[in-house]
Amino acid sequence: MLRNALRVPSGRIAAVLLGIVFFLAIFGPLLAPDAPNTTVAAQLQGTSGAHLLGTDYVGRDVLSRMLAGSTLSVLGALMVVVIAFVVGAIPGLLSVYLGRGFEWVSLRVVDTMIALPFLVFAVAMTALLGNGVVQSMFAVGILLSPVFFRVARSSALSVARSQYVEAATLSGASTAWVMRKHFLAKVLPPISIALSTTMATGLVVIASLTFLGIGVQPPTATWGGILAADLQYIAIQPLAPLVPVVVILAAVLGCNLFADAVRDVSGEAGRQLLNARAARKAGKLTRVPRARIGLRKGGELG
Amino acid sequence: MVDLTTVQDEIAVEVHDLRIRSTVPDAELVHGVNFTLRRGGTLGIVGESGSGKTLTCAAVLGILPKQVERSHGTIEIFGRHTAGFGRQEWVDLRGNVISAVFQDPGSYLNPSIRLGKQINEVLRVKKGLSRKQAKEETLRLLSAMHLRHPELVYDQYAHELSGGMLQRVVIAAAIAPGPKILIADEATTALDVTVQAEVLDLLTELKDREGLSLVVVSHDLAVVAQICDEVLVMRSGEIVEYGPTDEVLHSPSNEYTKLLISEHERYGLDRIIESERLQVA
Amino acid sequence: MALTASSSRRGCKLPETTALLNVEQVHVGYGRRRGRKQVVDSVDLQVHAGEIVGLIGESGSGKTTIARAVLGLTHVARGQIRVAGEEVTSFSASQWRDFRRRGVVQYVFQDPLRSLDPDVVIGDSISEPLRIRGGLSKQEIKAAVCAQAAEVRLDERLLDRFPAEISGGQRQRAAIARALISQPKLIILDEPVSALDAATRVQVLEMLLSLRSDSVGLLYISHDIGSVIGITDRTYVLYRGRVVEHGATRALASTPQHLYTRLLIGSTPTLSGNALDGAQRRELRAELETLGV
Repeated sequence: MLRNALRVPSGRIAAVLLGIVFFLAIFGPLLAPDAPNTTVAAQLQGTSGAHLLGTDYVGRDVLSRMLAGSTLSVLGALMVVVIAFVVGAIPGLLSVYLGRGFEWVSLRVVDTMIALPFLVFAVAMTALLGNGVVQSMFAVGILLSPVFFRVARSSALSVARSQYVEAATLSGASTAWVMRKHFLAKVLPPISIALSTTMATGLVVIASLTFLGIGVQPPTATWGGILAADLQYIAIQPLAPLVPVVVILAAVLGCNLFADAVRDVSGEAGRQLLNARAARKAGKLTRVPRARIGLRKGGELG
Repeated sequence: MVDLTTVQDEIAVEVHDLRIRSTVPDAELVHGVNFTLRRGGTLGIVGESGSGKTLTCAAVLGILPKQVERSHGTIEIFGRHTAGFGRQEWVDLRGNVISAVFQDPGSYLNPSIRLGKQINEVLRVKKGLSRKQAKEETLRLLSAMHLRHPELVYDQYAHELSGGMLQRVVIAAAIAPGPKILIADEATTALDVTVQAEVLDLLTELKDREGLSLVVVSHDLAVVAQICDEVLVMRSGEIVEYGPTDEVLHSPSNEYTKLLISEHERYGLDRIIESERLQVA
Repeated sequence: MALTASSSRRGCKLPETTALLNVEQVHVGYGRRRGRKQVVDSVDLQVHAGEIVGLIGESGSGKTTIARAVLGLTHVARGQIRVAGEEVTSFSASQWRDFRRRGVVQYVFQDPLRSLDPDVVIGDSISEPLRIRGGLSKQEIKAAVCAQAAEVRLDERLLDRFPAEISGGQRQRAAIARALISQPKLIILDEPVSALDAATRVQVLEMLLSLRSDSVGLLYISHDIGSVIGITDRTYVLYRGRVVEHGATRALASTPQHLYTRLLIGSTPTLSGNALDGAQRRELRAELETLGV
């Protein structure tokens, strides 16, 4: 699936953007030229040799703060994704196999969670659990788990009830075989899409929370925090607040493009698209067909 | 409302060199179809998925899907050309002059409204009947469909009835406004054999009693052979055979028709009929 | 009352070998949802090697339930089912799994578009039974798939395609190839040709006829009397969960005894018209209702 995603332009761009983001998250703090929390120069300066992205309102190097803040900003989002996945996908899968009781309870819990207003709940949870990144990300992760629940459940349901799985069972297939050979391929695309869109949401949420001053205390650097701090000075020095905006946008864009790429290359439509692109490259077609009048499955047009 | 019955009521439907094409992707789907349906006659159209039979009927009814259009030819219903029809003219025509029933009766009925009420609605809108008159007429129609307990069916919902009964209800709704032409497009395909026979009997009875002109579309040549005087065989958007049923069955000119006939003779009840006399009654 | 045709009907000579499939007084109870009758009532049915046996019935008659009971997909309330000598009604889940892996019984579904995994290439779908069973090398599996494809006249080049990329007839051949690859003794086919167009139907029916051999028995389930008459030697007629008539197919179709069979045969459209007219059918139907069979 990943290989196929790289064959489309959206996938390639996403790979580049996300590659940069994760690189920064891992190596960012090490690459910072200056100490992120100490004043090193005059306030609110623009681009210069010593400070590529200028300085903020205290006089700290923006580039260093951005690099240092990458880890928190990205890993925080990653934590949201992992928690949402574990809390959502596993019960989702189990709801198909554990019987009616569990199914009913899990569905009602998820329905309730979906009904709650999102950001308000996030703020309330943070107030409840305490003012820390971990706590807020935990809360957000739980709030976003319904998506994974639904995706895992609907994939598992459609596979479990399918005739091809019944055919495999009639040939003696074990549940493990069915999972490996039939379920995995089906669930991977929608889960990947959910993972990337949740990552995008996570990035925005952590930026929003740190922007509002929730979850992380100054002077710890985070992308949202940098934006918040320097936003009021935008008339004097636009560079400082703009940098985090651009970086957050790029990261979110990378996630969403990845989701698009996975969606485009999955399933029958995906295979058609890839075949058409390959044919075009080989010079056989003049354009990639976009719309197809449905002629399949007895739904006759003729 | 236009009264079309006084004009040339000998020929119900006349289709001449009808061509239908889709716009996306650009392709011709039906390549020049010609046929005539006389008043009180029965025409059978035999064809499989992709043959063009459903599109042809859709064109006659004026319900071609988006991105599919008539590119050539004429369709006349009781002498009136339908090519230039606007929405209002079609609305006037449908139900009152020409009507249709399709394959899956359940999908043509509202699942949350009682069946009697749905037929009432047709009568009140199309014939301007009052509530009381509509109810009486609906009950009359339901019993004319040989539904054993019409008052019961009147109050039931679609999901409570079997496929065969539902199809009868849909037929009742289709003929309620008193059309002169009824198109049955694979109307019995999803039904069990015994139920199919009953519905086909019903259609024949309607034809005899009300003078309905019938178009019966099916992929099964035998179904068409049962009740139609004329047969049209379509394949890949073209007519490959057209003529009186007896002639088509006994001296088919096209390979495809011969294939359909031989299938029945080889793998059908016809095989037994040929060599041994059926003693069923 | 229900007259079951005796096996001394003309043309019905049961082979001496023991039955591949022996369904004895099987009863399958009501489904969980109200109003959904899944009743199979005191059904006796046999299939011997070398035979093609038909099972006709309309929707709700229980024919698919019988197939599912034989395959272990539906719980049997009473009675016994023996397949190739083994009593399967008392099997546990793991016994079923082992039995199925041996590939003794196979099943062909009605709609190959649904019975083939859309994201798996045809060759892999066909080889799945062998891979589940295990014990064969990749080359051996590939060879088996190619041989089977040739036997059902499926072009080798299609083996790398996905189900959506090939025609309905080719898909059904692939499904049949998958059913044949484990060298089953009993093959159950449920409406195998209903979803196909005329030309393909004829080809597949001919192929099924060619499967007849001393080691294989076929159970052909359908509501389409035509194809049942075309290829079966004996037929069972199912009505509301009961076998109302059975015997040599030809005789059963030309001189049906039971009311229901008469109604069924008399309602089947033929090129020369129905055997019964509307009034006669209504009479039979009324008689049938009063009997409450």
